[in-house]
Amino acid sequence: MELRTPSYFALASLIDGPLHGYGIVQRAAEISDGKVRLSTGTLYALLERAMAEDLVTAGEPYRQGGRKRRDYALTPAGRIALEAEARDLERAAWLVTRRLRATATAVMGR
Amino acid sequence: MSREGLAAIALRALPREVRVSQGDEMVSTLLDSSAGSRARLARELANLLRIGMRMRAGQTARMGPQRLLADSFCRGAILLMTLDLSTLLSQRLDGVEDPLLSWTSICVLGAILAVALIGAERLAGAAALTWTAARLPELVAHNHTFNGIAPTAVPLICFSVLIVNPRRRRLDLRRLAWLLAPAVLVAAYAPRGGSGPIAVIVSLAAILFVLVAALKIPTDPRLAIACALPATYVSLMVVGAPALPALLLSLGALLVLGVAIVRLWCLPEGF
Repeated sequence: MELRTPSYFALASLIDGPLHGYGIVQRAAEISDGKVRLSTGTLYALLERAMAEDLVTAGEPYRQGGRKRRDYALTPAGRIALEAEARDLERAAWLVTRRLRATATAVMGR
Repeated sequence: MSREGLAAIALRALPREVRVSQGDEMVSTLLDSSAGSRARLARELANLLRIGMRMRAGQTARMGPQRLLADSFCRGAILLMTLDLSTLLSQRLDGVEDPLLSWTSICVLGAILAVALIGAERLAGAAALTWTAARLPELVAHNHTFNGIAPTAVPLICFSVLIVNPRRRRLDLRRLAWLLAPAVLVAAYAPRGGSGPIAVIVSLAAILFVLVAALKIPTDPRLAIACALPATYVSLMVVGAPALPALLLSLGALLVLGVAIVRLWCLPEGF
């Protein structure tokens, strides 16, 4: 599963423990500094895909304040996929930062 | 309308199995996410529609374009048989005397349509092809112009697809209910025996049917292709006619056929 920004933050929101759909929406917005605002359709489509690839598991449905909920949890495979993506992003950021620093003096000197 | 009602309507865009397994939960999340903001609710509903259509398109795409195209032609064959049966019956009931309108020929076509409906498509395709071939000499003698012969190519192609690539469907007698369609068409449009009010209702139903087929092009173009095939068949009969409706029918059928077939190859495979 290709982890684009919304799916990356949706999975990352489950690092600290299982959450229901709205919990994921809130947590993803929180850890992305408000940059990721997951829509319901997008969230459930990506959860469906993540479950099909065994990255996420769904718990039993329950009711909370009149709303039907189900908690989603990260699987060990999901954690590995998330770690790999985080490493890739870190390396990509490092490569670009290094290049920017290396060329900063030359650009400024012009 | 309440927010719950709007969410329930938007949810209809999703495939049935997703609705059954996650529908209530999705409505809960949607209502919480959009609480206190109409703009957010509108965005959420639009997103749900978009995702639902994409999921449906993905489900259709997984069958593969060749299978989908064959399916469309099989459905088109059923529509063509229905159209032919209604036309022959209404002409016969109207007292037109012609060897092409013999009761034997009409009954055989009705039986072939019944066989196709219950799910024995290969057998129905072979019988329909034989039926068409047997009538061809008479048809040519009757009208050997382009308009008389060329339209036969459409059913010949559809019936051949029924033989070569039929749908894998379980035998089901309930589908025989479709035989009511030619009966209703005859009741509505038979030149002398036709009924005005029934004709209006049937025309509206036909327009609705075509609209549904057109609306389904983005997620499942099969019905549109199936509807465009009889329209192409009729338009070939009237090609060259100066009347505007004939021109519109020809152009419309070709346009829908082209767009729907291209769409078969462009369906997104997954979300």
